[in-house]
Amino acid sequence: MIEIIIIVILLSALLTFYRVIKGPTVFDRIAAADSIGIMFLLILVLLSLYFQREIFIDVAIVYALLLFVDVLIMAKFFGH
Amino acid sequence: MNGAFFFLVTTIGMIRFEDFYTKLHIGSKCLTGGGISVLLGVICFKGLSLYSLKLSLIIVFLIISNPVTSHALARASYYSKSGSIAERSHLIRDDLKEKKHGGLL
Repeated sequence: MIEIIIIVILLSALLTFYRVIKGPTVFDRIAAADSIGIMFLLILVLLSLYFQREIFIDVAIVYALLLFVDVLIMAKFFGH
Repeated sequence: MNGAFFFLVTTIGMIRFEDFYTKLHIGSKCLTGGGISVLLGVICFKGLSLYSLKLSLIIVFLIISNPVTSHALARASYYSKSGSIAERSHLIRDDLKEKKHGGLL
């Protein structure tokens, strides 16, 4: 059950990567990279459920924080 | 399974839509809905413990951070000079155009 969900999310992240490569503007690429980051965050949570390791959740919290700061800084940098 | 369905909808929208603002719309809403439903499923699977407290912390952070990043991206793309997305996209009504020369950003 968990494997099916992980495979579906990986497939959608792989299809979203097409938009990162072939985006018309910079902001399309930033939005697609943000969505790929959130998908990998949820893959990390599901892997911690699959391997029975609780330490992966802390990694997921730090990853969400870094993703937030990252996208804000990229939007501020490319906006001018 | 519901969250996985939301992620597939996000991917299809991200590939099919050609306008930027529709892409940002589906990246904001469907991604938040899919993440919240997946994390709520994991919480209901594991029961109440410190584990589910950390997962609910991730849910709260996802709710706070995703609209903020979408708003920042839309604002930066509107005010950018080189991109000029606002002239090329299919906007019906553009109320922010009068304020554009005021130097808000």
